Amino acid sequence: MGLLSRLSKAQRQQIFGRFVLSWMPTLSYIMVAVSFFWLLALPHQDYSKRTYVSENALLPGAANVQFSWDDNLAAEAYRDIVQRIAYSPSIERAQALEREFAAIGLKSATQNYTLNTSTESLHGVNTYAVFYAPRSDGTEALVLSASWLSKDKTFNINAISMLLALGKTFKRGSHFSKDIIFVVSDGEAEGLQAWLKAYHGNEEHTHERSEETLKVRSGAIQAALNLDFPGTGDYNALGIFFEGVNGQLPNLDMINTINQITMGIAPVELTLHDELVPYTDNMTKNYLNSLRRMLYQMKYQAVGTPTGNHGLYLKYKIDAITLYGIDRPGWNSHRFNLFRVGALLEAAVRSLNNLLEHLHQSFFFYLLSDVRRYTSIGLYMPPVIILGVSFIFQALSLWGLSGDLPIELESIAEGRKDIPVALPYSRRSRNFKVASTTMSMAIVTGAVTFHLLTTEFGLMGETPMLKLVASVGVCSMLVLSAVSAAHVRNQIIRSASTVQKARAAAEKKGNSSSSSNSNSSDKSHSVADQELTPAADWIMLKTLILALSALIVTTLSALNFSLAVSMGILIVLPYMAFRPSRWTIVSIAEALILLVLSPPGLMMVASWWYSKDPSEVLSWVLREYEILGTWLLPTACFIYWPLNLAAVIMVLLPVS
Amino acid sequence: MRASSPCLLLLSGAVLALAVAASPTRDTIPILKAPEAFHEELVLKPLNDGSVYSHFQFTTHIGTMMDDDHFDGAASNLFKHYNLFPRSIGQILHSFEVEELHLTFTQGRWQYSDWGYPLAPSAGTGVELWAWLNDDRRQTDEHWKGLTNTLSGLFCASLNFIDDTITTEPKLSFRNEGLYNTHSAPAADAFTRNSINSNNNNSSIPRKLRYGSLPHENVCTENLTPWIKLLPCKSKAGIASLLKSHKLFDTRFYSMAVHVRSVCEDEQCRVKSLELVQTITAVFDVARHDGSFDWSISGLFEREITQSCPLASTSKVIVNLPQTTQIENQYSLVPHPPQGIHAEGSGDKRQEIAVYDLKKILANTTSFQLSLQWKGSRPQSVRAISPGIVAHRYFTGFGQERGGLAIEIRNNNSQDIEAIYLDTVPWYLKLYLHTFSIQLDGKTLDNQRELVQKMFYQPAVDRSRPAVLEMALKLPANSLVKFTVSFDKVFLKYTEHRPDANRGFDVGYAVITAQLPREQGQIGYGGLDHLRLYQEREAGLVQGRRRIRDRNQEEEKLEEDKIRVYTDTLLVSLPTPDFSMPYNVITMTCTVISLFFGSVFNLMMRNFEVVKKEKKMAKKSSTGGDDTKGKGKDKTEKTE
Repeated sequence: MGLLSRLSKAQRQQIFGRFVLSWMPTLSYIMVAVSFFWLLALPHQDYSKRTYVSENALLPGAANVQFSWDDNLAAEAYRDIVQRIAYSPSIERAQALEREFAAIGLKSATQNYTLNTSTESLHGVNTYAVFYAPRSDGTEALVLSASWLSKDKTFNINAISMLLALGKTFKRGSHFSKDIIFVVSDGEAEGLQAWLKAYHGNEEHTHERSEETLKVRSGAIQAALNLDFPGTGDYNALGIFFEGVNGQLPNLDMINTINQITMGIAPVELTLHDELVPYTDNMTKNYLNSLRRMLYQMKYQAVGTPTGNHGLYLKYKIDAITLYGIDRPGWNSHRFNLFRVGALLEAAVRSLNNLLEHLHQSFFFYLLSDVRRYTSIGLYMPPVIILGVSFIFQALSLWGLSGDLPIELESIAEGRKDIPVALPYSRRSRNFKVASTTMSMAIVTGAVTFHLLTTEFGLMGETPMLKLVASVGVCSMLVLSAVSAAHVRNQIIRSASTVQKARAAAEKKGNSSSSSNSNSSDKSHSVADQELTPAADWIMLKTLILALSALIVTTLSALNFSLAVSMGILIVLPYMAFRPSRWTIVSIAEALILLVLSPPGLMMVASWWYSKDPSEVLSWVLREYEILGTWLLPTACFIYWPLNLAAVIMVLLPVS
Repeated sequence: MRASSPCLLLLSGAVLALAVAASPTRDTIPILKAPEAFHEELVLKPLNDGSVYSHFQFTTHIGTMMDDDHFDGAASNLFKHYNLFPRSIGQILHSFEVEELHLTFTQGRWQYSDWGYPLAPSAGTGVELWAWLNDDRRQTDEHWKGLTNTLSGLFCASLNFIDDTITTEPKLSFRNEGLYNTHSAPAADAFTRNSINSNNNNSSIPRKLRYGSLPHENVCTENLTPWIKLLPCKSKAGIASLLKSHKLFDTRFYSMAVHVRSVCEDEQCRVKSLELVQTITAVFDVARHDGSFDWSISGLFEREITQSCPLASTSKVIVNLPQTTQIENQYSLVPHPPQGIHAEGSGDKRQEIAVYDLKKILANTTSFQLSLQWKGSRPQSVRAISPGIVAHRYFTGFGQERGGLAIEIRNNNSQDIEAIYLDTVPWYLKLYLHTFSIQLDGKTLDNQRELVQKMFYQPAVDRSRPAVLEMALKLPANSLVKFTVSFDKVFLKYTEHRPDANRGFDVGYAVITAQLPREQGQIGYGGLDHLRLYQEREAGLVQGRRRIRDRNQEEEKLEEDKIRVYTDTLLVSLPTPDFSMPYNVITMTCTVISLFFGSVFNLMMRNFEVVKKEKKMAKKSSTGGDDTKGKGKDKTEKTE
């Protein structure tokens, strides 16, 4: 206090501001720690609530199920038919199914589609049938879908025969208020996607994508259930898959409805994804299981790939989930057959049929730590916001300090009264040109790599790996040129400034005799000196990187929380802590760590983790982007990689 | 306005009207059987997919009038006395000067591609009301409003919601059907040649059309009961005794209508009568439970006819027999019609009709039963139905900001068909007419003149009137015509959302009116008039009249039927605010205000003083008024 009271108000304010600025980095590290702990606490029981059916109209399990043993027999008969046609060509099996649906009395049709990606050409035929609900006006519809290929790449025989059997069951009833559309899509995701596009009138007829116009249609689709019951046998448990393209989620009431039904009308063991975890009382084990389930969800959301065909509906604002039959021999639970599945599906459809409005009551943003426990957005949003704020604090402190004249700090510390008070304009100039040029060059490079990877840019017919090598080459060229240019420029400036200093020293010598207060003039000279030399380029670049990171993490958190969190966790510490060092070896080590965190580096890590060939990982990413339009590749190329490149350049810049 | 005619001592107003009307040209006017007459028919038709189509038609005729008479007042003395004609309808027609009235309640969808065309002309889901109103005194809008409100009360339906934002005045569709029937020249002339000003009689009376529909109106028993009350025999006797609401509303399609129009009683149309046609159409899904296509009247309706309506002039059950190919005698109809089976057309166009006259049958037996049994309970091969024109309308795009409307019209005929397309789009969908494009068989059409011969477009006005798009089309033979148009979705005020805001808004059907050649020979063709043909054939009248008509049409060669095709209704989701948010805001604001306002008001209004005890005592003794008492109270509070 003694020091502060002696100073003027302006000085006090300045010192206070500087105090805050100097504490900001520490504060931001504390915030990162808080954010990490918060995220780790989320799976804990105390941070999640039990799910409940929020939409009262759903009344899950309230209706009597009419799926009888006769229907079960019908389903088994259909299973034989489906099994017989499974190995026929697409067109034949589609037409066979079309005939089966027509025999039930449903309006059925087929749809051809072609999809030419950069690596493969997909062609298939979808079958679809509409059950026109008697007495309804046909403005609303529900969809039951199954693709020919299951999640585990075998034929989805039980699911398809279930669709046929349910069609027969529903035809008997007159209590449906919504039409029910049965879709058997070819391939994995591409078939259903073609169907959905055509249903919404967005069909294309280009060389890359061509979808046949639908002949039979119904009203606005309110909800959809996608079935994945591979094989022809019985199942141990029912898995729910719910993550859609780019981390979109269906309304939580979809999951709650199935949950409610499996607890009453159709008792089966229900779980998230295909994870079967034995029940335990142990708190720690429970926590670890919850953590793992939550991490699974976040992984799927961050990567943006749908965990089943339900994910394709979400883009069209149709809530959908996939029900997956888990067949795990040796797992200790009651096995269930098609009869149970039929009752479950009928109860689910009857429940969704009760909807008076589009699902809107329950949550659209949630993390599930268990099939019956959820964490709402209010609890999981703060850590990612805190991460974003810590970036901003770092950036602000760097920005603030970069304008300071370091000499003042020393004089204040010495308690000298006669220091020249720094006026608001007596600041070090900030040279932003290098930083902004580097950043924009990095973004341009990112765009170039994206185009190298996605289009056949002079690399026609080449493997994706070659394209990746080419784009990595482009990136390294950028880094090399930027770093070397900076070093050369630095050399030039340094030599220029030594000349200047020598000149200044000579001048000073000449003037020293005439000066009365040599000390103060010396100080003021050095202030002027510092005003002339701007802050180092790396400071400006780092400020820019941190500010951009804050912007991206917070913006992304609203669109795809998991992607934002995983990106934030990956980059927060390196981007905040790394800076060019006087020891070249440290700088190079930092650069190497950043290289591991770069998209190609992460790809290598992933291929090592899943013990796959890197080219497989790359073509998977490309395929996901081209077929489903996931954001992973664009985000990596336009956002993540440029930041990473800029960071690599930053740590390699000259220190001064 | 005419003066009221002198009251003559005649028993019925209708007879008076007949007498007055008939006096100048007595010798040329055919003598009517009765001033009022009631006919009832039930048409049953097995459909290809195992459903049974049933069509009840109750026709009441009242009085006659001369050429230039219309129902505007007492001149015709039409509505002075009621025997068979329902008084409630008569009074409505009278007080709102309604020339022609068509009201249809429909539930479910008519499957054109499976079932062909219905006998009743209207089949759009929900409620459809259209009327031609007398515009003598320029009171059409008030009359229309009164009409909708009165009908709303009469039929227990939300017809009063047909307000300005829904009401339209089509320029080409929904011409008046009155005076167009088997006697007069077909409306095709008016339809094609003078379509805008198509009051196709020589009358100079100004009339105006009003059209409105409610796509989301549910139809149920409460609408059926008042409808049955309009019948002379109610549901006590005759075919109306089959109307059991439990069975009727458990059908795939249910439609109930009231049509009022004037018809000609002779070829020159000098004598007209007012016709009230009440129809009920229901499609029963008989194969729903056991897959069997067999049916019987008692099975369909869970009732049987024990007596015919004594007030009815004719009472008939007509069965349109299924047309099977290849194999003969696939089914048996029990009992066999006493008058044998009438056949019309040949080859693919062959139609067979069995007619049962209930008056004669029920004179001998106690109840009428009818059943149709297939060999092996399912038909082997039934002639496929290929309806001449099928339309399909759907929304394209997704999201709540913008969208598109696509209309596909398929012409299955081997000749060009003239059709009129009418689409009413609510004001909250902002159509962009410049995005309107036409595709013919998948190819974008540059020269649209060939296809779209006329086009009327009425832009919408926010919150006051809908957009109306009406086009006269010439559909090429065997073609698929597709129209697309884009629109923006309006952000509504929050009070304009329905209580079920997240459901979205229903957008009504589009209507395609077309003249189809009568080659398919479907029973549905020609609507109400076709049924009249059966009736008249029975009466022995039709032969002569048909011949005259055929002579008149020699150059036209083909007989044509006017049909209307309705598309499905659609659901559009507009941008919907999160309605729980205003609630949260209101709750929070109220809490904050109540907490904050209370304490702040308290602080501001109270007068705090520190006072000594003795002073207070002294003051109290000296003055002692209401004012100080209040103050004293505060002070004690403070000191405590």
